[in-house]
Amino acid sequence: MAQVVLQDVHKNYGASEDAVKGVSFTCRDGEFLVLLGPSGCGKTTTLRMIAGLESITSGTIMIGNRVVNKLTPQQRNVAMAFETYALYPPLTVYENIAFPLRVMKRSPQEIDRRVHEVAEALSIADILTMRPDELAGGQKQRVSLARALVREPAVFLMDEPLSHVDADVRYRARAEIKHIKVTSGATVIYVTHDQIEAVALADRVVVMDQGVVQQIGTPTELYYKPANLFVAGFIGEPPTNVLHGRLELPDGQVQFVWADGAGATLSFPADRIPSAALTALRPYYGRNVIVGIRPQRLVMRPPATGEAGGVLAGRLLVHEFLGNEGIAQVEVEGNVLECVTEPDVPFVAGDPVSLWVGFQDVLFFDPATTRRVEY
Amino acid sequence: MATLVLDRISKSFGRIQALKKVSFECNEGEFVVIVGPSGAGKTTTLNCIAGIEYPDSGSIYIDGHDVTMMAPQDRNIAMVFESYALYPQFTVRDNLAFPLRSPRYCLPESEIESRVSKVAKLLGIDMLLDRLPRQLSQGQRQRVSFGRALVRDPKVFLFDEPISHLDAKLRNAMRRELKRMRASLRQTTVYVTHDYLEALSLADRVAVLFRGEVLQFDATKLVYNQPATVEVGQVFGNPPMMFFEGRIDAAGQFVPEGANFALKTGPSSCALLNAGQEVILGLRPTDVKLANPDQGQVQGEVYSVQNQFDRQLVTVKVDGHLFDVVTPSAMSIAEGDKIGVSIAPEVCYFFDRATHKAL
Repeated sequence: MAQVVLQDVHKNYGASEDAVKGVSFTCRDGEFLVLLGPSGCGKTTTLRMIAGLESITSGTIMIGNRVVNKLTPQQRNVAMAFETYALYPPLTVYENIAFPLRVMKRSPQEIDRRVHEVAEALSIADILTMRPDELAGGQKQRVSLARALVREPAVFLMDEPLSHVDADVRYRARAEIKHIKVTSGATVIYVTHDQIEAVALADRVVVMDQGVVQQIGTPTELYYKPANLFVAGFIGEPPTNVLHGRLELPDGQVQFVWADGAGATLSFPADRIPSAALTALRPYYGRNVIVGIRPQRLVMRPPATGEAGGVLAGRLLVHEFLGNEGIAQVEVEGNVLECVTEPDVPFVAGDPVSLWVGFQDVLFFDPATTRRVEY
Repeated sequence: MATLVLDRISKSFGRIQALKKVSFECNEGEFVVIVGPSGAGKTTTLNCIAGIEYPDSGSIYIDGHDVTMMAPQDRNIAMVFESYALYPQFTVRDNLAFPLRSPRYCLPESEIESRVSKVAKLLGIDMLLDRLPRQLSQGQRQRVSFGRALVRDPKVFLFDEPISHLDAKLRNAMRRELKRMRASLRQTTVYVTHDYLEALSLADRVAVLFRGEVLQFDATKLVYNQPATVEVGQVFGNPPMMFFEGRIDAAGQFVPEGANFALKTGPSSCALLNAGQEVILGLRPTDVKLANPDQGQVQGEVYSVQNQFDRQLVTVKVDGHLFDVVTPSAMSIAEGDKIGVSIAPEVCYFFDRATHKAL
């Protein structure tokens, strides 16, 4: 196993703009790194450059301590599992999985042992004698995955390997990938557009948009400390509530005055706010700022009676019962805020409610750069 | 607005029986969702209501009139497909007016104008009437396509998986948009989906369809909280309900097949369960909890941990069985840890092993 380092990697397909614009990151030895972003963000191109299936316009890619820019895919010792399975139709599942080992001229005993190990781990031991055209989409994907795993390469590259697995068993397939990863200690770089999959699997996630890395962090960091508005909106479900307004500093209070919310105000006593936060927010006093609040961090309560603090008065528009939780849409001065609740709430549509948030759950963003104010 | 009744609709395609005596009804202004896996017969049911297919037996009534064999255009039904099947070269106004300009109606322009503006106001798109579809957000486009069905003032609305082609993030946003839209309109609606979240969110009542049969037709919260069969339990929840086949031992405990652990059953279920009875235990991952390694009803080893933002999905291997547990992400857990799983008797769902029916 090995680490993978990208330094200022660019890819240009001949257009005026690069498809990948100076991507840099390090995937540590044994790390599970996920490249996440909307379609067209450059994640698959980046993966294909690591695999050696695309040339690099400029920059450096290292696997282990070796610069691999000019090496063929075979010389890089990487294994790739694709969205499309590319299985050999005339061969059985067993022979498909064994194929890379036969090419490497391993002994029949070793091949047999490895194939069974991997098949067991992926729960495909019972279909080893079948042929690809007899398999369901999800099974084919596991076979393709097994064929990549069996080689024990320096690095695994996976491009949306679960996209054809049915939604209701995908969580189980993820559990298996995670289990194999943890027990084998493999280095994995994995591409997906699905944030649920990304945070479920990753040690760290590289969030990309428009060919640029937006943030590299653990799932927890992305969720609680998004680097900018894009990450705050892309990560998490429902997306972060975004409020445009001004930051004011009246008597002993830090106040956010919501411009689009007809001046509705969130007030926090300054003496209860950590000094690091006060310092970081100082440049924004009296100026415009953007606030982000996760729907999971807004608490819906009965209408506040003279309650100070981070409270917005609104009206419940609709509440969705979703089984183990609920989502409320609350109208505040012509805007709709979303709030995750218990499955059942003691309010009906039209009821006045208040939305409460603690200062520690309010994210501040610079309106010019859209970067989060860090503290 | 109208009532809709399906009375024992059956339909075969060659040797395959697509629908087996499907019955449900939709009261005036009610929103019924048909949910089920692919191949369950959802779209065939919808097509029979619309008149695109005719059932082999059974009857369909709209407002008490038998429409079973009536031509589609005589039923006054509107069908909404994917959210943005709009004419790109037409403004919102012309898209909305299009169905009314059909020679069928022979409406004067003034009447068309007044219907369009009424519907546009109702859907909150009256300030967008002069825009082209490409100048609209996804949610606005959905409203326009909905409005285009609405201007005809149909008796019944039919939706065939209108948002399932979207990726998860957009689909969730569109579902919440539909939920808002539906709150302001009370139209008799049948909505087909395979996404249980859409069913729970939007429906007044849910019909769970499985292999051409309605397994349960109940108020939304009932189908989630009191699933009538194993298959109904399987439809709702992500991760879905876990099932363990086994039997009740002499002490009234549940013993899963091929495992040497036992689960206590609660006093409420005791009355229903007999020693030696063959049952299936259903558990929701959100109902079970993690416990210290020496506590809980069963003990095992952490197989995998999946982050879910403010929660995590922990899979625990217990004597060859996998238990999925959803816990707050504040708990620090790693693969390989020894751990207990606590299963309260009141979160256990028991089903008959032969019939799959709830006990």
